Amino acid sequence: MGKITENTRAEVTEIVYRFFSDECEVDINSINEKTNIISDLEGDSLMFLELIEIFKKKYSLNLELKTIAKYILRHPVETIGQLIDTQLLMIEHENNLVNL
Amino acid sequence: MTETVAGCGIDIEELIRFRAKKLSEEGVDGFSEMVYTPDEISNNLKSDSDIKFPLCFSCKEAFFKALGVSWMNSNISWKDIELLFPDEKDVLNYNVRLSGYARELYEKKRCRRFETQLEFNDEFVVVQVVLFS
Repeated sequence: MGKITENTRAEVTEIVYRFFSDECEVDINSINEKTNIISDLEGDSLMFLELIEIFKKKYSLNLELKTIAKYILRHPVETIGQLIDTQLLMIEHENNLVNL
Repeated sequence: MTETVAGCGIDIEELIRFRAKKLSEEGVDGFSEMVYTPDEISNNLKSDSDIKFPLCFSCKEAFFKALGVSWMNSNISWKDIELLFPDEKDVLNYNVRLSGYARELYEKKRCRRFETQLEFNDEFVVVQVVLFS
């Protein structure tokens, strides 16, 4: 489990913004915390899975896909800001995410 | 007995998005471990074709849609739906296997059979699934 610092938040934000800018071919400056992943960026499952994989690798997370799905079922992710918050919780709690 | 359509799902995937995930026998990446079953991985690695993994992914998505669920809003797992190619050289010879929550939902919807159609070209794969009850 990792402690979340301001640096971690900045790093995660940078990765998420850059990822969607590259994948969706949009200007990174047009993305903000309120950007809707589906309606504004046309994001899909494949992108979401890729992003999870990036964070699992980068922070060596012990995190099952089922745990993430169970958490998201209760806390839906629609915007970039919500996605960043969820990624930070994944880093902080890993498989304990299911108990939040 | 009259047959009715219990669900229909269609999915399209761009091949270029999967090419970066080229797998090798030396190492299966985390993405593949999350999405594909061990049988799909070993089955598809034997093949020279680069469309089998995208077809597997698309088949899972199409089934989710036909069953009316998503992996983010139900207990369904990516691994509940398997697309296997018994003949490594023949992409049109395939079997679809359901297990876990996908099988449970399929039975709950009183489905008796399904039809799966796979299509592809150099850029895209498309999978269509129709469930009959």
